Order: sequence, then C-alpha cells, then structure tokens
Amino acid sequence: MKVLMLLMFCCFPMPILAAQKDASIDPAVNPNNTSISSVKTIENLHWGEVLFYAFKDEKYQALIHLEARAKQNNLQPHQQQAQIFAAALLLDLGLPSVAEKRIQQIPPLLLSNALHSQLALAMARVFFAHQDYSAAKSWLNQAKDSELNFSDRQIKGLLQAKLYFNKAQYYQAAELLTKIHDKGNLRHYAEYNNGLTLLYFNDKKSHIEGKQLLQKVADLEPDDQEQYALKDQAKLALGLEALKRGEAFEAREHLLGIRQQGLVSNDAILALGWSFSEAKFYEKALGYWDILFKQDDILDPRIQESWLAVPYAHQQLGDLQGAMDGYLDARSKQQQAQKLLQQKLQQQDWRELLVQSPKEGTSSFQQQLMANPNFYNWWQRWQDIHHWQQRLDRLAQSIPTLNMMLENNKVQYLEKLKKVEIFLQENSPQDFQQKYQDLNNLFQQQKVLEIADKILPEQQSKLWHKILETKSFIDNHPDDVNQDQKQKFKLLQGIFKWKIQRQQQENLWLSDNSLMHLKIQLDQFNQTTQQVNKTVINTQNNPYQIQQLEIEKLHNQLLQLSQKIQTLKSALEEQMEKEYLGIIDEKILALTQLGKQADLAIARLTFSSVNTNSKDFKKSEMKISEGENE
Amino acid sequence: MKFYPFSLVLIFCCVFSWGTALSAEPKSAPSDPRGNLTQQSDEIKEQLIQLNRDLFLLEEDLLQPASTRVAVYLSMDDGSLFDLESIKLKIDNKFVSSFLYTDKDLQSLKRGAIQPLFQGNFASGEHEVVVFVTGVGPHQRAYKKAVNLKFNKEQGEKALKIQLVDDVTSQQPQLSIKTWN
Repeated sequence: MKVLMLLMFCCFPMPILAAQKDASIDPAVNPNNTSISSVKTIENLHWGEVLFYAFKDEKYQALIHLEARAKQNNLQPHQQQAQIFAAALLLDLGLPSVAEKRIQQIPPLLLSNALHSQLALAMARVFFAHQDYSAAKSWLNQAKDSELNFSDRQIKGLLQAKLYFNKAQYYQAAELLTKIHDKGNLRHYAEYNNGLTLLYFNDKKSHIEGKQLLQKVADLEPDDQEQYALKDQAKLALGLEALKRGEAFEAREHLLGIRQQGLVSNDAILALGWSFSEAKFYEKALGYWDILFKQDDILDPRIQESWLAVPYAHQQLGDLQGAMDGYLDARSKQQQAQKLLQQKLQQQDWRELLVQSPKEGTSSFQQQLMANPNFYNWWQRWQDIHHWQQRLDRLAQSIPTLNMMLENNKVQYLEKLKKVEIFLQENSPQDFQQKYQDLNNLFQQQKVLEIADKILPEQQSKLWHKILETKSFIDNHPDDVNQDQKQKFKLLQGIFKWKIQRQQQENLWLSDNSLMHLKIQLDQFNQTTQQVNKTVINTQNNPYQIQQLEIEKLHNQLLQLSQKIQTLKSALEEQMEKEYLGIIDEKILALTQLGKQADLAIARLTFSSVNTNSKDFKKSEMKISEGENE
Repeated sequence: MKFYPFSLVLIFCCVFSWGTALSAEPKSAPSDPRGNLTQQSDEIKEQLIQLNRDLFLLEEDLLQPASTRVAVYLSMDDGSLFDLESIKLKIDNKFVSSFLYTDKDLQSLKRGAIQPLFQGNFASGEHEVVVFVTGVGPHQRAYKKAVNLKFNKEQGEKALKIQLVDDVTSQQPQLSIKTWN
C-alpha cells in the first residue's frame, strides 16, 4: 500500500521550481496578489524568454533555451540562478544525476540566502530521487520557507510528505498534505490520500476524519474524467471499509454510487454481491455476481472470482444442481482462461502496450499488467525513453532544413561575392591612387603661382584681368591719369589683392585638408580592398565550411544517439518480457488454484449427493424391510 | 470488453485503492539487472539536450544571422487593467507576426516573463514597426491600441521591446515600444 501511495505521489505534477531570487518577479509568492508594484519585469531578454517557457510549463523548451543562452553567455546577471533553475528543470524531466552535476558546479559560498534555499530544495529532490532519504531530509531542512516562493514551498511540502510516507509517518504526512493549496486535481489526490492514510489509524477520531475526507472526494462535482475516476475510487474505498466493519447497508450506499462503466465498476459489483451475501440475501448477491459471471473478459480477476461466487450463492440457496452446473462452468472457464494466457504468452501481446496511443483503450488484462509495479516501472521507463526518442526524431527532421538554409545562404553569399569582384575590377585601388596623385600634383602647381587663376572664381578672375589692364594703361599713360585717380586705383588694387589673397589661402587650406582626408580614405579603401580580396581568396571554395562541418557533426551525433536509444529500449523490453512471464505464471497458478477449488466443490457436492442418495436408498430399504416385516 | 483512456488506467494503477490492495505489502522497486540502464538513460538524455541546444543555436544562426537579425519581445506587468487577447506586428508595412494569447501565456507574462514574439532578417537602414493589440480593457470594454516606432538597423542584432503597463493614475493600460540595444 505504501508503495502504491508513493507511486501515486510520483504521478503528482510537480509545480515548477520558480525561477526567482527576485521573489518580486513572481506573484506566485502570493497567488492572489494583483498589486502592480509587486511585479517587476526582467531586464535580461534572454532570461525573460527562458522564464516564458518555464512558467508555461514547457519545461523542455525552457531548458533548451536556457542551455543555449548560457552557452552564449547571455544570462548575466542571472547566471547562478539559471544554474539552479536548470537543475530544477532537469529534475522535472527525471534527470536527478545530471541535475546534481549541475548543482555541484555552483560555488555555494557566493549564494544569497534565497538562492541557497532554492539550491537546498533542488538537492533534496536529487537525494530523494536517489533514495537517500536522510540526505534529502537534511537538505530539505536547509531550504527556508521564508526564502522560498509559493510554488517552491509547495514542492517542499510535497517532498516532506513523501519523506514521512517513506518512514510510515502517515499522521505527519496527512497533516502536511492538508496545507497543500489548490493546484487542480492535486488537492483531490491529497484528500484521497489523506483519507486513506487516516483510515490506517486505530483511533476513532482519525478514522472518522479519514472517512470524512474520502466522502468529500466522493461528493466531488467532477469536471474531468480524472475526477470521475477519483470519485469512484473514493466511493469504493468507503464501501469496502464499511463492508470490513460488517455494515453491509452502508457499504451498499457507497458502492451503488459508482459509475457502471468506470474503472472500478467490476470491483463495485463484486463487493455489492458480498454485501448482500454478508446479510444472507443470497438471491440478490447472485443477481450482482451473475452480471460478472456473464461477462466475456475471462482474464479479469473480479470476473474469475464470480465464477466461484455464483455457484456458492446457488449452494446457499439450496439449488445444488445449479451450484454443480456453476462449478462445472467455472472449471471450463478456468481452462479457457489458461489457454488464453498461453496464447498471450506466445503472441507477446504486452507489446501492444508499447505502441498504443494514449487515446486508445486497454483491455482489462492490460490494466492488470499495468497494475503490476515492476512491469509498470519498466513500461514507464520505456515510454519515457520513447518520448525522448520522439524528440530526437523531431531534431532529425530539422537537419535537411538546416542543409537547405545553408545552401541558400551559400548561394546568396556567392552572388554578393560576384558583385564585390566586379566592383573591385571596375574600381581598382591603383586607379584611385593615380587620380589622387594627379590631383595632388595639380594642387602643388597651383600653390606656387602668385595668383592662381584656376582657383579663382570666374567673375573674380575677370575683375582681376581688368585691374591688370588698368594698371598697364596707367603705366603706359601716366599723364592721362591724375594723382587722385592713381591713388584710388592703388587702393582698389590693394583691396582686391587682399581679397584674392584671403580667398586663395582659404582655398588652399580647404584643398589641403580635403586632400589629406582623401588620402586617409584612400588608405582605408586600400586596406578594406586588401581584406576583401583576402577573404574572397580564403573563402571562395567553401565559405560555409565550418557550418557545414557542424551540421555533419551534429547529424552523426544524432545517429549515434538514435542507436543508443534503440539498444536501451531493447534492454527495457527484455525486462518487461521477464516481468510479463512472471505475471502470466502467477495468473496460471491462481487459475490452477481456482480450478482446484471448483474441483473440490464439485467433489463435495457429488459426495453429498451420493451420500444423500445412499441415505435415501438405505431409508427406502428400511421401509421395504419394515413393510415386509409387517 | 470495456476500453478506457490510457491516462485513466495510469491513475488506476497509481491510486489503486485498498479494495484490492489493502493487504498488499510494499514491494521493492525492480532492480536494474544490468546495473546501468538508468545511467545509460541519463547519459542519452543529457546528450540529447546538448544536441538540441547546438541545433537550436545553429538554426538561429543560419535563419537569422546576427548581422541582419531583428527580434521583437513583449513584456507586461500585472495586467489588471487589460486582458490581452491578441497582438499583430507590422514591419515596413508588412504583417510579420500575430499571436493569440491563452491563459497560460498571460499567466506567464504576468509573472514577469518575456515573450519572444518575432525574429526576422532586415537590411541595415531605417525601418518602421507598428504594433496592434486587442483585448478587454477597464470596465470590460473591448480595447484596441496601436503604437509605432522608427528604428535604425545597424550592424549586429537589433532587439525591440513592446511593453504593456497599467497606468494607475489614468486607470488605462499603456502600450509602448522601444529599442533594447
């Protein structure tokens, strides 16, 4: 029972270890919190992106994003927090050993109190998975409630409860479970488990509390199939408990509420029969057991039980012939069932469980296989690795796409390369160098001219020539010009010379500067051209060689992994087959026992019938002799 | 013969009640006969995670090289004034992305996460992004809002961040977009 309960716990969806040192980023600290100031957005986009998937419960996606961004060193300043978070995600994905390795890489001394508590919680989960319960407990004690957020406290509570279960401390476990907040069906599971746990205790108070909790689950207004199933389970538990106390009427009240097409409906029918049988209402008991007796699923143990129960009821009702027929029928059905088991053994029909999609149904025999903890364990591990294989298959599908993208990029690159080559041919650096040299020479020539005509604007140049003409006229005809005019001309010539000089200097300075810039740019251009040339020469044959090699490497890794998974699956199948053989053996043995019981009952009935007949014979003989005497 | 969904069968196995198992003694977990099946399984999974990570990075590099990559992210605060329903993104007059929000997405955003909304390739130069959001605003009224931003794409990755913030003073949600780097 303890194992079954622990198994149930393992089915609990573990709320994610919240990614927060900054408790403020997570309103889950108080789920009802709607105050605006409580939520701070994260400043690191990549960290925020990881959390987006994690909070959506897409743990695998979150882990891949986290690993990728960590490899790119893009998670600062959340590096340590990310490491702990990665460990929690790995734990959620069922990889405690890998999580442990990850945690060991974190320097513990540098952690804040909050991060240390998160780390301690993760370590507790690691040790619990390794079944080192004392270490798990010790780590769990280091995870301080005050430093953990709401969902982390939930995980801590669940883990603590599991540890109590493990030590058979059901009362403490039950107490802790009541503190678990509403998380979908988790609360109903907790109540169901609580109820069962409390029924274990001998004291009346716990017993009543346990029944109340089970009744609460039984009274659920179900929203989904899972809740319907849980409700039926609770009713069955209550019914059987009442039956155990000899309260047949109360038991019936619980059992009659179970759905007819549910998972435990056959259990309920069988128990209903026993409840009437307890009260010696064999006819009614027969009515229920007959329902099972007539069902075709001859490998269902509840139906097999009815094979003996029906003739038993007949016997109790004094219908000895009916009882005899029933036992004979049971014998024949038992032989059929054994044959069927042999067939199943040959057909290896357990393999159907490997390929069935979750939406398809399972036979009751398959349900029985799954109810075997060992078989279920191997099956679960097989399914787990199969799930990972599907992930690998999806990755394999991305390889052709990557190759295509690479090819596309390559084509685009080559097109651009061609354009660059043409440009380089049309614009060789030597041409530019020559042009610069010519320009420089021209400039140097202009610099040495007294008044460089070429650098004067056209209008000013015309004016200058006019001044020169006037000067030559004054020089040639000095008497035609008076002193005042000569003075004015000199002044005009001076102003103009000064203007031209200034203009010339400005122009010279500008040209000098421009040429200097041109020289720098030309040098840069030369350098770039040389680099481009080098790159063109280096990469012309295979510009995407590194990426090509990377794809090939990853593809090879993918193939190797695929092979490893196949090998592992075969090993797990081997184990399942072994368990399957054991289960079939047990079932054959149980059927043999059933056959023996039927045989014994047949023998007893025959004996009593012979006995009755001989008594009747003796009685009739006595009567005859008495008559003769008379 | 009855058929049940697989998940229910699992519940049945896990929660198998004491009706049939009351007296069942705890059985030890099956031993690992080869001693290393668990280890093998862990190694495979770890390698697969690494492989997935490397392929993810390679794919990102090939699809959106850093030199041309433009990424748009969305974040929101408490969101008590606005129930985001959908978002549409237009860059240079072309719709490039749209998203319909589920409860899970919204819960995740409200807890402080950042949604990677879009990644694409754009040449260097000036571009314009327009964001349209729809949802239910204050007083349960249908709410539509748009905001735009002109940004200059230079060498290297460009990240833009859309923010939805509750403005307590005006009791209205505020939509904004800004460049991240």
